Amino acid sequence: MDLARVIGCIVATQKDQSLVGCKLCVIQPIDQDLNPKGSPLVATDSTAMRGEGEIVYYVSSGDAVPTGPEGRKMPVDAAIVGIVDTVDYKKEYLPK
Amino acid sequence: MLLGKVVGTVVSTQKDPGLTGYKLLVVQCVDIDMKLTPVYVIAADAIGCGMNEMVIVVQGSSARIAERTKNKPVDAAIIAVVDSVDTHGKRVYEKFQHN
Repeated sequence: MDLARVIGCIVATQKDQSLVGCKLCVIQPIDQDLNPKGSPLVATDSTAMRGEGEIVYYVSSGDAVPTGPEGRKMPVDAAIVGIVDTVDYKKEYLPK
Repeated sequence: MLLGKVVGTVVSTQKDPGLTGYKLLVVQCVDIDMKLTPVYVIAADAIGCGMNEMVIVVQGSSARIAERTKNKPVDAAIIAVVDSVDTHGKRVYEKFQHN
């Protein structure tokens, strides 16, 4: 799982059946200091509560498949699974 | 998932039997400002989209979960046609203006 910031939303009418009712957003992956890392990507939102600017964590590749309602399979490779309240870490525990 | 624009088609006769009947499209990825980047993906069409449309491409094993690509030998599939994209509170893409 990785941290990301929600930076936008996407509307799509024509889509795979299993994605109906599912929110799509643009997220920017961030590092532990909340600085942008890598390029933005599209993710579904299984929490359905995210707002723009919020810090979230997401799962990627095959792990994002069972994130539909009631564990339903969805054809996605990135899915937001939670909203972050706080992030704490000790600098000395980071790999050098 | 990636955002990209459909810029071409791929025709192939000699292929894995599992790919018979699939439309293969060349998708050029876009950045956050919707500018085209030099990254291309060949993706199987799982919804029925056309040229110049902005689409969402799913990669890896997740591409085999879509209804039309179930258990087929693909690792990139188009799963949605984008109507609009908003980032930082601004509309950066709208389908019906760009077409």
